[in-house]
Amino acid sequence: MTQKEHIKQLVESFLDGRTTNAEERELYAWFRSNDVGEEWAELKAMFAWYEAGMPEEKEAETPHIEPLRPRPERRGLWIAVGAVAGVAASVVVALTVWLTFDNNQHDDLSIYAGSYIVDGGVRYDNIEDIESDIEALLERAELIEQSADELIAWAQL
Amino acid sequence: MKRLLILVAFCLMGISEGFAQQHIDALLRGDLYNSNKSNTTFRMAVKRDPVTGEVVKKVSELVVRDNKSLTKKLVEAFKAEQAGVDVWQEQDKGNVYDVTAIWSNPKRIYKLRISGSVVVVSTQVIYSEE
Repeated sequence: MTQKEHIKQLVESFLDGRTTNAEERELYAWFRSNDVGEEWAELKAMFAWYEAGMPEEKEAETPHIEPLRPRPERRGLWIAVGAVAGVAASVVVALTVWLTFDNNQHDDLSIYAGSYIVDGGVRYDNIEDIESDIEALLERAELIEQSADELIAWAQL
Repeated sequence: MKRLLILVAFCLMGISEGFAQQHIDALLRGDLYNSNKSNTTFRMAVKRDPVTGEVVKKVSELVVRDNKSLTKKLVEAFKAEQAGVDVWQEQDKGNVYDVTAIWSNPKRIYKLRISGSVVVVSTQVIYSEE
């Protein structure tokens, strides 16, 4: 890899906010001490501005270049914003999963809508509470139906 | 000595749904809630198609304990239906008395079991096969 390719990679990392302090110092030094030509003239000015501590425009010794990325000292802020956004996204995902599960559970229970139990004169119709009783009753009914089918088959002979 | 009596009747004549098993249904709707509540348990399961929500099957179970009057009425109600059922089975094994009554279109299976002082009436109406 040539020096220029290496610097190009560092520039890309810098613009993505992934460079270390040492890599940034390397970039500042390289752009300061090399004639980069017209192609990277803007970058040279930008790194000079960063290296100078990002002076206000009126104090700048170099022409003002619009920063191509958030200023390095604001990284902490952006990391915090990213972390908050990540937590928020996690909460949204968790909520979505929970709601989906909860809805599925309700969907499952809704196949028994209208079921109830009256025991000792007290009516129970909360499906979640009586679900196991209802399923047991349906299983007993299944056995009765099987016997009935055998009876029907026998009667039809 | 245990007695076993099985009588199966198969009727080809269709029975109008409006008139079938009306004695039993009326009994389950009425007397159940009006007397001896402490000795009865009634369960009603409605099973629906998970996609359409339409009722696939209705199953009920009445358990009556120590209620000779209601037991007698239930036996009479079943007997009153005998002439109109498609399939009828009656078994008397001494300590257990069973009656099964079946209608078709829609398929209805009604079962009465008396064991000692406990009576269980099971009914199921199947609107569509799963």
